[in-house]
Formats: sequence, structure tokens, C-alpha cells
Amino acid sequence: MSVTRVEVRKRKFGFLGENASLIALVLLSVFLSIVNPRFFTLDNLFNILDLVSPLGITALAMGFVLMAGSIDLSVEGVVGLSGIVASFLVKNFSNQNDFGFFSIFFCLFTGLGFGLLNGFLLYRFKIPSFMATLGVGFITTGVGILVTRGNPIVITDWSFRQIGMGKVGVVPVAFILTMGVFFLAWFLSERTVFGRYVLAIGGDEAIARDLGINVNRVKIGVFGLAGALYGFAGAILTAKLGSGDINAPIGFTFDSIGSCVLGGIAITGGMGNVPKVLIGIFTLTILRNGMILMGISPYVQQGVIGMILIATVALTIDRKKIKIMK
Amino acid sequence: MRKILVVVGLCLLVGLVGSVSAFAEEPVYLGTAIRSLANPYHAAWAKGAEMFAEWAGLKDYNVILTCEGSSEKQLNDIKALVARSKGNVVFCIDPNQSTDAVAIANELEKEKVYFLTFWNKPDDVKVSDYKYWVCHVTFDNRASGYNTAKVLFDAIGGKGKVFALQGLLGNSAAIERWEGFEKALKEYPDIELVGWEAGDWLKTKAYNLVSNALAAYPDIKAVWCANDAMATGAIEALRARGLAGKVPVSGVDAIPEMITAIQNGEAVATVSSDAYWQGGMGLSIALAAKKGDIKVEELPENKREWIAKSILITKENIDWYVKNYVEGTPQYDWTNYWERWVRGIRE
Amino acid sequence: MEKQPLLVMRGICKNFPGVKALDQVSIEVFPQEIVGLVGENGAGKSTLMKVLAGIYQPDSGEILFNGQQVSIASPRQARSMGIAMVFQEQAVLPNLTVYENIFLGNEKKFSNAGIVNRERMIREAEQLLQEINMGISPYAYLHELSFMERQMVEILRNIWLSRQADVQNPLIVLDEPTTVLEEKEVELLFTKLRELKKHISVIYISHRLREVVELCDRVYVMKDGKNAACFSRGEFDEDLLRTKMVGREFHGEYYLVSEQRQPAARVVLELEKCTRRGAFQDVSFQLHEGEIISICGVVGSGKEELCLALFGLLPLDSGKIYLDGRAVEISSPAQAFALGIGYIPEDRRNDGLVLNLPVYENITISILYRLSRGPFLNRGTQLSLSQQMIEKLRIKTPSALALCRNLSGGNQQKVVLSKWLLSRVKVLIMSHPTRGVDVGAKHEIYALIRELTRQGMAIILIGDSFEEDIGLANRIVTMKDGKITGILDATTSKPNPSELIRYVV
Repeated sequence: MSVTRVEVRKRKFGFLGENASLIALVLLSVFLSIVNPRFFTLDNLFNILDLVSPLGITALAMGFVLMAGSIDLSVEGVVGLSGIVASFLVKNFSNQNDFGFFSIFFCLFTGLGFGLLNGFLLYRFKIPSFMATLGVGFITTGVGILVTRGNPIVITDWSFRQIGMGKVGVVPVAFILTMGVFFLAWFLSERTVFGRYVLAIGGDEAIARDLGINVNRVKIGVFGLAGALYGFAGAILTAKLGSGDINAPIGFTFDSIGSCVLGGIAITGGMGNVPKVLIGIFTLTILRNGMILMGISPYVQQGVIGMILIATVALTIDRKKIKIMK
Repeated sequence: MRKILVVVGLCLLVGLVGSVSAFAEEPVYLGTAIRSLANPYHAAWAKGAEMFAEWAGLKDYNVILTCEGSSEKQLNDIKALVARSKGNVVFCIDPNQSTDAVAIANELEKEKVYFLTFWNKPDDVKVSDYKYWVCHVTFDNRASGYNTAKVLFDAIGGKGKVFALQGLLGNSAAIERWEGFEKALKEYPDIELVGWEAGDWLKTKAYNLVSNALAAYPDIKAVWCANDAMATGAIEALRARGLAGKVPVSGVDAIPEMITAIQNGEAVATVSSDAYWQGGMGLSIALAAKKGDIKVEELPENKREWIAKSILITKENIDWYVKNYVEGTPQYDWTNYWERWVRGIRE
Repeated sequence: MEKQPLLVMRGICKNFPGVKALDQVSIEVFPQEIVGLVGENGAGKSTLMKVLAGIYQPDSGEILFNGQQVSIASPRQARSMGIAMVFQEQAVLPNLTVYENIFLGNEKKFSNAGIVNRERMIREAEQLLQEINMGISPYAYLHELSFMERQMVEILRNIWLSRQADVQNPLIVLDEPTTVLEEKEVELLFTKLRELKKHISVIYISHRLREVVELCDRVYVMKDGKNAACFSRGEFDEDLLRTKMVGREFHGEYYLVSEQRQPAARVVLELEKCTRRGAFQDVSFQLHEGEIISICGVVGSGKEELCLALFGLLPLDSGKIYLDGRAVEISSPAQAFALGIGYIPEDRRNDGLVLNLPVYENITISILYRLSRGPFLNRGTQLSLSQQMIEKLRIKTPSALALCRNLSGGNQQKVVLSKWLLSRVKVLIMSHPTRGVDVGAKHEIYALIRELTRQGMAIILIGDSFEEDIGLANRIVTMKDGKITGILDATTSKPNPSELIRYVV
């Protein structure tokens, strides 16, 4: 079996380019641990792992959607509503329910339902994902407000709360769950036909369709998957914060997309993989953690993240596709 | 000839009846303009408005307008309600930003609609320059920040490292509460502020920031927060490290979760501006002005722009507060307009 | 030896509203042969191929494949029968790897319950790649490969698909495969095609007549939707093809050499030791009023960069430029234009025209200031000037108000040219001005170029082929590896392409 290496002619940055995000992450970590030795303490590492979920799961979901060439702006509403569903079903102050861990399934189904709605709107009514998901986001947020009347639903089921705040040794349970989800997603993306089709569609939908790929089915599947992941994230968030709160996921849209971008996922679609999302979420979390460790003024922090994101997008975007933003 | 007289007479009769009914009393619309119903504070405000409307017999005319953070929407919604009610309306408004108060005031002056505002208005604008702007009421944010800080510092014996979470930077409530905090800080030389971050009034963000802060400064003894949503987030971050109850937290707003936390000993202080009261009394005063029960021209300057009583809630009075405000709905005398008047803003 | 034809298309007719696209067209393709298909734009080549590919259904006529009468209802069916089209806009996904692209859409053959067996895919890809022996790795991403390598991957996909369908001799239609290839790559492609001929037949569509002459065993010429001619190897050359395509005799007059003028003595542009690191060094020559200079060289010779530098799109590291005797610094296109230098870029669709604007706006876009009265634009003058140009250049457009995106390539190029004609620049730099334009329109553009020189414009030209460079130029500047290797006279007598090659490689 003789495999000859191709004469790499048009690769832009070579090995460095492919793994830029990982290298950046490593450099960032090394830099931070020099500047503030507290960075590498067990306490801080636990802190970082704790902060990675449930945002990591929504970033993963967003990663799939971005790879397929679309975008999902319903994340905050669906996560919030799923979290509220969880809070209503476990032991809480407002009613007599006590479904315990079983409520996670309801969260998954809630998320899945709204995700499929996104896909349906895209496929049946041809509404661009930007608008469709924005609309679904508003709907879910509205339902959340309606159902809670503005008051977070405080939960009292301490064993359920363990999935959000419990630890195994020094590793948070939520992180273990998140890594489990990442592993399954990695398998799905790399090893299944569905996973490869996601990238094909993100690369060039027209060509994919011409070659016999059922684009609609894959897209609906992607949004459904994202929705289910949001549902799971909502359950974990409620467990972590102790209440079902429609405002709890505020900022998740920006952070999920930002994590994907920092990891090297092109927002134009077709490029990226699951490990990149993981790198991205860690990069974002460590960036924020690092800025506090370094004592960078809070007035400036948001601006710093904004600048880094712009730079990263500029490097990864596929300019030929800019006219099309689905 | 007779027929013509009958017809004319009938017309006159119809005209008379019609004009009489035109002068009969039309029910007044009650407009409440707030940011959103998604937080407990404004949710209580809306409930207060409802309580007043019910008392005044105007339940069907009570309209809640939420602007979701958009100044433009707030103004448009107000205009729309004025049009819908044909000007027969009064408003109780929480302007989205200070500058919006002026735009709203100009609009409602033009339409001759009585209204009252809470919280945000530009300092150099005088309510007394307007005929229909009955009152602007605010709470002593500096006092809130100052008092909760003092209670917090006392809870750790007056010395130790403290971390603080400000609200949305640039928001006047955030700025004023921070000024109160800094004043208290000066009075406690043994308290050290290791750092502060902007929590933007949000629970999840507060969780993340406090979590990072605890990793950066392991010997934080207390956390001051500019509102309760952030305080509850801080408590959860402490809980994840087994520190809830050991590291005291303070906030402002008196949301249910915070009340529970004070009862549990996980938090030590919060402040209630009594959103129910705001929602109801705001409308009551505006309506009274419209009916003539309050004569706006005769009000002195310090009753046009004034500071209302807020309640500092700590371990000491938590039981009293729970009994009167949580388990029961407080009873309000909606005609006692000046009951919570403390002093004029400029005094 | 009488062989059974692989493909027979007989008496194919296809009508569109108002247009008879195909009128009793017949072609035959035998196994293991490469057949060329040439004709002007609109002659019916692509329509005929779309019928073959199953995109269109013929109104009448029959198609026989491997002796069986077939009706090709869809591209998928065509592919499963072993007929495949490889277009210029490649149907490959640059963000996936070679092996993924080869089997794209057919992963079911390698998967079990939705889970793919990558090792099997890679092994099978390797076997296929070895057949063409170009050193392409199955792990490579398509965006890392050159245009030609990507084409080969697409061809491999089609070969594999036909083998899956048990078709022994698949038919692959290549549509303009060489437009963006360098000379070296074209040679490589031809070599591979000749090797692959053992397994496949090819229909080769191209405007590059020289290539058709070199590569094809037989060629069909189409004109106005009908068969115009059919030749076998040895029976045809470029001139003959051109004649049949357009219906007019050309010979040397294709480039209107007889209209070539003796350039004036005045030097309009002079370059003195111009250098740009990494692109070209010590370039010096003079350009006279009314002269056409062609710059000849392979890709990488520096000719493209030199032209960009003259228009202010690339800065010079050292050297001087003199315009009308005055030393100038050309630091931006706006400045170049103000100095009287114009540039027609290679990619006219993206860089030369605003496609969404109508013809008359594009024509007058560079001289709007001249058409304005105070702050107002004189629309009337705009329209009448454009109409003059449309008539003068014979631009085929429904009206001056039609959008440029609806014009054919050749007419778009005429719009670009008329824009520059109106702008009255002193020096016009043209990069591949007739690329993608069909034979008849090319000739008209050459006439235009001659007209420009009659008006005194000096022209620097990078042509599509040596023939074009030689035919049009007064002098030819040859470049190699960034340096000038020769300045040849082409006014008194035209050099041979073979002579030119010595200077450029």
C-alpha cells in the first residue's frame, strides 16, 4: 500500500493553520500560568471545568448547525424553557411534582421539539435559519415568561442538583456529562454518514443535493439534534443554579457562536469538527478566567473578547461564500 | 307640516341624548410601562398595578406595556395607548433610560395626559417645568448600596477581603449603588476590596464571575452584589465550593429567592423598594391628579421630585417582612399618597 | 476494424420558446476515443450535452448507448448508466477529503447501519488514485489540490460510479476543462486523458482550438443548432475549425493584421528598471502612442504582477515609471486612472463590471463626472453615448437598460471595452481580454482593439494564447522568471509560436 503525500500547493497556513486554535489555547494557558501562578492550581482547574458546562453543550449544538451552513439563534429561549420544564418537574416550591432524573427526558423532548420546529420552518417554508430560529427563540422565551410569571422556579431536589453542582473527586459531574456528550457527538460527526453529510451540505448545498444527498432530512436532523442538546443543557443549568429561570441563558448565543469561532469553525459552513468546539469553549472560558486572574479592568474585558473574535473570524471565513448566509 | 315637526323633534331628541352621553364619565385607562415581565421585580410591579386597578374598579382598563429594553418601543407603546384611549389615560412609567424620560414627558404633555415616573430621569430636568408630569419618584440607591455594604461588612466582623459585583455599568442605579458601597468601604479601614466585576444584573454571569474570583482570590470573606439576581448567582457559586452560608452575600431588590437565602443565613441583606407599592401607587397618584384630588400646580417642588422609603431587610427583620409581604399580600391605602415620602430629591 | 459505437445521438431536436436550440443533430462516439465538440456560444453544444446528461429531454430523435436505445430522464440516471458531465464549476466539495469526495452520496456502499467504514473507503480510493498515478493522497483536502487535480478526482468519481453500474466503457464529457490551467497542467491533463482512454471515452468541449487539434481523435463542429462539420485527426486545423464555426474564412485576417499600424514615435509610457521583490526585476521598455505590446510568459513569469503594478494595485520596490516624459508614482488605481492608465482585469465578472447595473451605467461609469451638470447627472447624455457604443461595437443586448448579468460573456467584455473607449485613457492594459469569448465575438473585439490604437491609445496586452499575442502585437515582450528575455518585433513580420517558446521557458 503506497500512499504518496500530495504536493501541498494551495494550503494557506499548513499544519499551523489546521491546529491554530489548539496551539493558541496552549500558548494562552502557558502565558497565564506564568503571569499568575494561581492559574494552574487544582482549585482553578476545577473552576474552569465547572464553568465549561452547560455552555459547552450549547456550543457543541451550535457547532453542528454552523458546520451545516446555518445558524441557530433560538438557543437562549430553548435552553431557558427546557430549564423551566425541569424546574417544574422536579421537587420545587411551586407544585408537588417529583420526577427526579426522569425530568431530563422531558427536557430533551422539549428541546428536540423546538429544534424540529426550526428545521421544519427552514424546509417547509424556506425561512432562512437566521429568521426562523430568531422567531422560535422569541416564542420559547415568551412561553417561559408566561409560565413562570417572571419568577424563577426554585427547586429543592438536592439529588437532582448534583448533576449541576456535584463533583466526583475534583471533577464536576456536569463536566463528565458534557464530555460524554462530546464523545458521542464526535462519533456521530466522524463515523456516521449523517455526520459527513452535515459537512457536505455546509460546504456546498447545491452540489450535495445534486449528488443525491437528502439535504432537507439532514438539516432537520441537525436542528433537532441541536434542540435536544439545548434541552439537556437547560436541565444542567437549572440543576447548577438551583432554579428554572428564563433569564439564566442570557449570553449563551454570543458565547456559543464565539466558542465555535475561537475553536476554528467557520461561520460560513462546511469546515470544522467536534474537537474544535471543545478547544473553543475551553479557550473562551480560560480567556475569561485569565482576565480576572490578571486583574484586567472589567471595563475592558468585553472589548478584548470582541477583538479576539473579530480577528479569528477574519482568519477563518471563506470569503467566496459571504453572499450566502443561511 | 306635522310630519316635518315630528322628524325635527326626533332629531333634536336623539342629539340631546347623544350629547348627554358624551359628557358621561368614561372609564380611565391605566397604563404601566416597564421593562419586562421576566424578572420578579417587574412582575411584582405589574401585580401591584393590578391590585390598584381592581380597587379602583378599572380592572378591564389596566394595560401593562413591556418594552424589552427598547426605548423606541416604550415610546411607541405609550403613544399607541394614548391613541387607543383617546387621551383618557394615566401612566406609571419606569423609563428605559434617563434620557427617555424627556421624550416621554414631551409626548404626554402634548396630549395632556397625567403620568408619574420612577427611577430614571436626567438630573438637570425639572418636573415642575411640566404641567402633566405629576411626580418623579426614586429610591435612595446610594443608601441601598451603603446600608447593604455596612451590614455585609459587620457580618464579617469589620475586617477581611471582599469581592463586589456591579450592575450594568452606565446604568444610573448601578452607579449610585456603587457610590454607596464605596462610601461604606471608606468607613471600614480593615475591609479590603480585592476586585470587582460587572455582573450586568444577571444570575448566570454572576455565577461565572464569582466562580472565577474565588479561584483568583481564595480568601474572599464576603461578596457584595448590586442586585439580588446576581447575589443568588453568587450564592450558587459559593455553594459549589461548599462556602454557601460561610461567605455572606448582599443584594438589592428583595426577590423571593433572596428572602429565602436570608432566612437560610446564606445572605445577610437586601433592600425592598416594594414593587407592589410602586406599581399601584404610581397609578393612584397619576389618577388622583387627573381627577383633581391632587392639584399638581399647588404641589411644592419637593413633592414633585422625591425619594421614597425603601426597606432594608436583614436577619433582624426578615421574619416581619416575610409575615407581612410574602405570606400575606400587603395592604395598601392607595389614597395615602405621601405615606412613603422621605424627602425631595434636591434636598 | 468496425467497432460498435458507444454512443449514438441521432436526429436530436430541442426547442425552447422562440428558439430552435437543436435541429436534427447527430453525433457518434466510439469506445476508447476522444471526440471534440466545438462551436460558438449559442451553437448548441451545451444544450446537446445537457440532453445527453439527462438535464433536458429531446423533443425528438433517439439516443443509443452500447447499442441499446435509451431515454435519459435525469442526471442521476445518466450517471448510473455511465454518462457523466464534468463542468468547469466543479461538483466537488473543497472542504472534504479526496476519498470523501469520490464516494460522496454513495457512502451506503461502505456503511453499516449509518456508520461508515473509513478504512474500506480509503483503500478503494487508493486503488483508484493509483490508476491515474498523480501522487494525490486520499487524505488530502480538496481545497489543497490544484484545479486540475480536483477535476481528476471528479473524473475518478464518475469512473467508479460507472464501474458500480457494471458499465465497461463510461463516457465522460469535459466542458472547458483547461480555461484556468497553465500550459504544464494542460499537458499533464492530456497525458492522463490519453492513458485513461483505455477505459473511457471522452467528449471534449473547448474554445481552445489548438488543444482540440492536438488531443482529439475526431471533432464535431456545431453552428446555429445544427451539425456543421465532422473531421477526423489529420483532416483539420484551427483555421478550418474556425471557418466552419463562424461560416467565414479567416486565415491570417483573424487578428486583422492588415489593420495593424505603425506606432507613432512619441513615447507614452516608459519603464526603467522596475522591480518588485518576488515578482519581477529590472523591467525596462518603452511604449509608443498607438502601439500594441504583448507580454508573453508562463504563469510565474511576472507578467501579471507587472500589469497590476502599472495600475497601482501592487507597489514597486524600485525603479521609475515615466508617463509622457514625466516621472510618476502610481500608488493606487484611482491615481492610475487619473494619470490616464486603464486596466481590464482577467476576471471581468467580478472586477470589471457591476453586474447588477444596466449596460448604460456600466459603459459610462468611468466618465460620470464628464456627464454631469453641476451636481446632477445628465441621464440623457448617458443613454445616448451608451447607445452609440452599443451600435459601434455591435453589443448584443435587448437595450441599453438591460442588466449586464444577462449578457453573454463576449458581450459583457464589449461593455467593458466600450467603457474604456469612452474614458479616453492614454494607456490601456488588458489581461486576457477575450477569455471565454467565442470565436466570432473575439474577432469583433480584435477589431475594437485596432480601433483603439487608431485613436492613439497605447495598449499592453496579455493574450490567451501565443497566436493571439503574436497576431495582435506590434512588439512582443517575453518574460521568464521575472526578467525580460527578449523584445521581438511583430510589425514587419510575425514570429512563429515555436520561436517564442524559446524565450519563455
